[in-house]
Amino acid sequence: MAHAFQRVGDRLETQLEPVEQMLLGQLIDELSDVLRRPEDADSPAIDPLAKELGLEGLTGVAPEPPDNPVAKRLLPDGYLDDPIAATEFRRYTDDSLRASKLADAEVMKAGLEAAADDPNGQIEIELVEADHWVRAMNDLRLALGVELGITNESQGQPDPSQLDEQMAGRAMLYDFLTWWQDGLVVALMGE
Amino acid sequence: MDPPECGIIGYVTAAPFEIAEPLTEEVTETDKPWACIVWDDPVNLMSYVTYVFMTYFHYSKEKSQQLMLKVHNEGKTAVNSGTLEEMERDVAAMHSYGLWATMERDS
Repeated sequence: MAHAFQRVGDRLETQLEPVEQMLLGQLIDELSDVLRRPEDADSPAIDPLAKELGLEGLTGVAPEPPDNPVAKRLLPDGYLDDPIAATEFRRYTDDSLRASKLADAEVMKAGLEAAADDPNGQIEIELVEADHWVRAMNDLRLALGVELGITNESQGQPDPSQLDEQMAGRAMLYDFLTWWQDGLVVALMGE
Repeated sequence: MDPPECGIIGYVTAAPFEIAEPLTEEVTETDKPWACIVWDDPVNLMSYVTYVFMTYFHYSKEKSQQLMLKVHNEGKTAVNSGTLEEMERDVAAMHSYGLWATMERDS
């Protein structure tokens, strides 16, 4: 079974079972797929020089709000009742937000791979990396929350007996990540 | 409450979170105070939301917990106010942490 995070000097330590490493790794891959722009493969609209200089937001067409409900939750509008301002906000922040979340996911993925190479499934997180981890865990929980239909109105999680096998597995991962993330946050905030 | 000089994202993230240019369209808009509103969300943990306010805004634990409870109990609350550019930076940062945040004119 997974271990809760323990603070050891400037590091946080935990252990994961191989099956936990695998399931979380798959979730991270799914998350990264959602975070990559669908048109990244073929986007002639973006000037390569502008892209190199990090200025594509200044020249490219403003990205559309995502259709995918998970992406919609992870990349929300910055303005509630002003579609024009929301579009401009997205135009300048979409690339950075996706890159930031993808970087978080990569740090967590690298940690899971390190655990897979360790006989005890040991994970060691430097304090400077911890923000990546808590954010990546949170994005995973947000994505699972959308799939499980956890909303302000739903008052918590769906009844596990009402879920099919796949969604029951997602619910278990959600519970696991809730426990794991809370433990990491508590370890980070502890005096 | 002063906006942070440099959010933690700027120095811990591999890809620093930057807004390429002020997003304002009219110069006069920049003088009006704006607020960064954080909305309640059933997924984000109370401990995590407190941690985000402490880490990004450098608020005390007590103030961060009070703001978190306000979000939780009232559905939303303003967590910072300032110029349009400052608040767009904060809203974008909250999105990077997975908190649901929007811009609002401070009234």
